[in-house]
Amino acid sequence: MFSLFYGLWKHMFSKLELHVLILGIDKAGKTTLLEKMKTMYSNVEGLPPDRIVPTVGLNIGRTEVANRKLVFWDLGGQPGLRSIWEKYYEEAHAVIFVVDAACPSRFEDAKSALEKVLRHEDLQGAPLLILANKQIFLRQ
Amino acid sequence: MGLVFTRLFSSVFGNKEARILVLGLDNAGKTTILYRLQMGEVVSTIPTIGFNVETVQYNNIKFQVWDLGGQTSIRPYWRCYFPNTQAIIYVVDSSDTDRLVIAKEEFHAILEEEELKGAVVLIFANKQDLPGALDDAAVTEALELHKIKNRQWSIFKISAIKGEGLFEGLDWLSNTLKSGGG
Repeated sequence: MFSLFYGLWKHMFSKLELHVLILGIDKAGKTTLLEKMKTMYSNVEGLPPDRIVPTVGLNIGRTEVANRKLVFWDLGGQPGLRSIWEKYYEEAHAVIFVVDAACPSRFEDAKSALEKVLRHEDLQGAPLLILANKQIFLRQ
Repeated sequence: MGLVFTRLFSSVFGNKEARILVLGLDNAGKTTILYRLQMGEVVSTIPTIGFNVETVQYNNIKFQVWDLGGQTSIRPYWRCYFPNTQAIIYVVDSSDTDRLVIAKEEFHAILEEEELKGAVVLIFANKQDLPGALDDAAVTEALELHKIKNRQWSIFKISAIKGEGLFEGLDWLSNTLKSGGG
């Protein structure tokens, strides 16, 4: 009985957990973004950029914004690993797509990867944020 | 008070301890990995009945690495070692494609364990030196790693015999543990 009420209580008052996928081809800066967000928006100190290695798996960041729990899923972007992206779509609420804006030779690759993401039916209606990363290299 | 100083001391000097379990089916290469990490050489091993435990110092982290025997009959005893574990290294023989299904089932059973909820997961796709070994993407697929959604994981192609990939994996582990884990 207690657990019933507890469950009900939790259901009514627990904060909604939203899942945000961080996608993009390899070397776009997804993990660097995640670690930076950890430092800025949570009490966990993120890794400095020089310690970040290519992701072959899943990195997670958690934060709270406007009474919502946000969970960031950062997935590896190497060609062989992109096949697992779609396994996360069903439970994702939004997508951040990171592009290395300083590397035009890979725009085509990024474009086809993004198109594939957008075509997937599980992501229909999910908000998409595109980040043109590495602006610092463009200014130089 | 002593505790406070100990904490302060270790935060200043960056020494951390972590308890790590090395799990996987029999003949996956767990013991070879343990001694490769600890001594930097390949030792001849026999199937482990029970466990081996060694301390490996790497990147300012003292890893207490427990290598548990992987045979079917002794897998139920793994759970005796689960409390206070910060990370799991799950070792797979990437060339033993017939048993990948069993490896997957054992792996997901481990992840269900309450006591291992906070542990980060590192997967070693071992025996890359053997012909027919599956690569990291294929092992990811076979182990259904995408089902892991509430903790950090990473997979590395390694060859314990040749010593390739092991320390890249340990780098990831130490970074992840330092940045607060999953």
